[in-house]
Amino acid sequence: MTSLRRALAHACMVAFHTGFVRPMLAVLGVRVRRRALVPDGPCLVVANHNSHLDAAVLMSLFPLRRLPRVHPVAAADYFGKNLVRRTMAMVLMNGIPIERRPQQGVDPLAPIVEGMARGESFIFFPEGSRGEPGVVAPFRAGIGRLVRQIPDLTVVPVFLSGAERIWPRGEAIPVPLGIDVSVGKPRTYPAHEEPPEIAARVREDVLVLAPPPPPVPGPRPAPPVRVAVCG
Amino acid sequence: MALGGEMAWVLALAVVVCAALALPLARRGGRFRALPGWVAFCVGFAVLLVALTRIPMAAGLSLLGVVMFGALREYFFVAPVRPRDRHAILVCYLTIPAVLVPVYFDAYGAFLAGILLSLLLVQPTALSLGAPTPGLLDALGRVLLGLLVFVFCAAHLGWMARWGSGRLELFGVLVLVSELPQRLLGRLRAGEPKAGPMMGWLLSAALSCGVAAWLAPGLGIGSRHGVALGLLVMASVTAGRAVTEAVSQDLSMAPASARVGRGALLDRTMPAVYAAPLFFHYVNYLT
Repeated sequence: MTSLRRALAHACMVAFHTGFVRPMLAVLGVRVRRRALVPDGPCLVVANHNSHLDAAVLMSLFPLRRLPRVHPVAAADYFGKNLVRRTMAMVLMNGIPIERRPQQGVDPLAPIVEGMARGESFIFFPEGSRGEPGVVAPFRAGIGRLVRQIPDLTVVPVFLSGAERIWPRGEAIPVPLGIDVSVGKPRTYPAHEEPPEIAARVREDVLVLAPPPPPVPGPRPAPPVRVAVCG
Repeated sequence: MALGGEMAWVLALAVVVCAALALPLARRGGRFRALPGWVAFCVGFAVLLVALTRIPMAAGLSLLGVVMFGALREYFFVAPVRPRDRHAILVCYLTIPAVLVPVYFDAYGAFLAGILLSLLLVQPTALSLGAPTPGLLDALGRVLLGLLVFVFCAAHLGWMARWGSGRLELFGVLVLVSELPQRLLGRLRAGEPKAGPMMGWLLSAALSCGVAAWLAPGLGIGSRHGVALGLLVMASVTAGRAVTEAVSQDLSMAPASARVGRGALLDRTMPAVYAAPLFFHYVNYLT
C-alpha cells in the first residue's frame, strides 16, 4: 500500500474511533481497571472473546495516537467474506487477517511475528472464536507458538465482562449494559514450554482477573450442608 | 423572606456540611469507606438539581434523561436479567424519552399512561414471549424495580424542575439532611457502643423537619406543611435505603457502608430519587 493510501486509511481509522467507537463505548458503559498497566511499548493483549465489541473495547485501552500501530487479529474466513466486513475489520479497525485453517506449510501467525518485530502491538483472542456468554473456552495453542517465536514477548492479560450480554453471538442489536475491563500485569512466559502448556498458563492469568459473576434470575443452588466432625 | 434563587446556595451549604462531617470519618475505613463516594454523589446531585431549574427545559430534561439512562444501565449491570430479556431492557431505555416528553409538555396524564403501560403491560408481555425458561418472575421483578426507581421516580425531578428555582433545591436539601445521620452512624471510637439505626432515624427526622420548617415558608409553604414535608422526605429516604439494602443483599453485594464500584451507584441514587414522587405530589397538593 502506498504511503498516501496508508496515511488515508490511518486517518479514517482514527476518525472512526474518535467519532464513533469511543462515543459508542461511552454509551455502552465501559469501565477499565488498571489501564495504566498497558505498556507503552509493543505488547500482545490477550483476552476472552464473547462479542464483536471485544476488539473495539481493547483498542480503547490505547491512546488514539497509538492506534495506527495497534492491530486486532481478525479471522480472515469471517471478516474477509465481503467488502463491508473487510473494510470494517481491516481498515476502520486496523485489523490483521489470520487464516484459522491455513494451507499446508503456511504459518498463519507470521504477520503477527513480523509486526511485533516492527514494534507494533496486537490484540489476540486465543479462544479462536466468540464463545458462549460467560464461558471461557480452552485457549488454542496459537498463543503458545507466538510466545516461542517472539523472544521476551510481553503479554498483557485482560478479562472482559459484560460484552457478552451487550451483543452476544447471534443477536443483531447491542443493548447498553456496561462492560468491565480488568487489565492484568504484563508478563512474559517461558519459551521452552510446549505451546499448549503456555496457552493454559495464559488462560489462567486471564481467568484470575474475572470478577465474581452477578446472580442471575432463576433458582439458585442451595448452600452446602456443613457437618461438624468430632473426634 | 422569599427564597428562590437563594436556595441554590442553601443546597451548596448542605453539601459542604455533609462533606465536612463525612470526609474526616472516611479515614477510619470500614463502614465509612464509601463516604467520599457519597459526598461526590451529593455534589453531582446538587449540580443536577440546580441545573434543572436554571437551564432551558429541553436541555434540562435531556440532561436528566442521560442521567436516568446511565443509572438504569448501571442497575442492569449489577442486576442482570436473562439473556433472552435483552429486549425488555431496550424497552426500559425507550421508556425514558416516553416519560420525559410529557414532562416537557406538562401532560401528567400522558406521563402516567406511559409509565404504567410500560410497567404493567409492555414489560410483562415482553418478558413472557418465547420459550419458557426459569427465572421469569425474578427477571420481571428486576426490570420493574429498575423502571420504577430510575424512570418513574427520577422523572419526577423533571416535574419538580417546572416549579422554577427554590422547591427542587429544597428537595435536595431535605434528602441530604435525611441521609446524613443514617450514613454517619456507627462506632465512632473503638470500644464505644454503636448507635443503633433508631437514633439515625430520629436524628434524620429531627433535622429534616427542622430544616423544612425553617425554609419552607420562604417558598410559599407553611411551617406545619414544611414539617410534614420533612417527615415525608425522611420516611421516603429511609424506605429507599431499606429497599436498596434488601436488593443489594439479594444480589450478594458488599454491605452498603463499604460498597465501592458499580454497586455503589445503587446505594447512592435509589434513596435520593425514592422520595421524589412523594415530595412532588405533596407540594402539588398544597399549591
